[in-house]
Amino acid sequence: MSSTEAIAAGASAEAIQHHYDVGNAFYRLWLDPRLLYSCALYEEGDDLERAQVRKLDYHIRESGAAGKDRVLDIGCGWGALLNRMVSAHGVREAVGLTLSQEQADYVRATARPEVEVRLEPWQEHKPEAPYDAIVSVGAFEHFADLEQTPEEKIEGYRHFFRTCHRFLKPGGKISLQTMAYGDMPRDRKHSDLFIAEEIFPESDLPRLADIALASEGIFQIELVHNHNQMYARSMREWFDNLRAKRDEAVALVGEDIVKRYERYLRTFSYSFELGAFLLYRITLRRLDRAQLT
Amino acid sequence: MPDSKATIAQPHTEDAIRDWLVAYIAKKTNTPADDIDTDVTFDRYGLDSAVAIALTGDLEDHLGRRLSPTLPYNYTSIDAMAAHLAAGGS
Repeated sequence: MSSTEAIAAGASAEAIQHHYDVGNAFYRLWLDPRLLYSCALYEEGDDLERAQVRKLDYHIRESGAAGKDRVLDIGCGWGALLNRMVSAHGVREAVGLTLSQEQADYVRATARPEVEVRLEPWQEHKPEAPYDAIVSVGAFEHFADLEQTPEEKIEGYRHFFRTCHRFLKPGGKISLQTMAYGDMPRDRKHSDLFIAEEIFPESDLPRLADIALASEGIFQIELVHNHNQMYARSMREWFDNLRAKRDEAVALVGEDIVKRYERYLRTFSYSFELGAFLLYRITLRRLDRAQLT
Repeated sequence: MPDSKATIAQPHTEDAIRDWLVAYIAKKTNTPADDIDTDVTFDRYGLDSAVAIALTGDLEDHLGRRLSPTLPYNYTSIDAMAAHLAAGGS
């Protein structure tokens, strides 16, 4: 049915959204059952699902969240990390922030009662009480845009770290996961603007030095892993899954969107394999005598 | 045993792969195919890393097998790449 026919027939808002939003059903075709849409953490013998759960447990462990009262997940996606904290690691209250209405609705409908999801940016979040730990996986990529100068980017990241400092109890930690630029000259313009415009609008990636500068004097960096080859593998598994379910995907969202995602997943897989993009997992500990200027 | 010949796809010969690469580079660089020199390096045609990555992906679909993104960095001319791929390399 074309959109014009649907509107003429008095289609519900839900029907229009179902038609136009890429939507959870599409991602369900090629992500793991928990809909984890960021780099997995592989050990020998892991399949994608097992490696995704290992990634969740890693961030819960690194942030020191296990057994704590209140934990914040900035960019909570479909809520798998929140659920894992309260179901397997004894966290009593897990709060997630997302900007996606579809994700917020999904978490509200499926998550355990100890989980709260809020449709708001971290800049506007007003915690009822301080948090014991913060996790943020696959959100930092969206904190800067292509129009910003290097100084503006770092100031934006610094605002994020200052905000996390304010949210955290003394000694609290952040476990942060983000894509970053690797072996790519700083002065190079984005020759493949497709990525910037079609896949991640208004987003630019950090470099490790940006994160170090932006958190200096506010957090101390305890641990840095670069797992770019693991992201090459995650992206390739998603690509293979999408190819295997291609007919279903086209029926759901159309040929153009499927092609766009195939191109994005394979291009990114190559870029991670080549080291043009890197994948950092960084543990930062709150400096309790920080100079917050 | 059933005759398996009917199910085996036509092999991608070195010549066929070379022709495919010539046509691809010609199209990407708006150059007549006759002017493409198969033994000069790709960078002579102004191919940057974004095009190199796109080429590898399109080659995967053409050959129907997984390839390494290091391919255009290790085999830097049409002739070298065609010989490598025809020999079953990735």
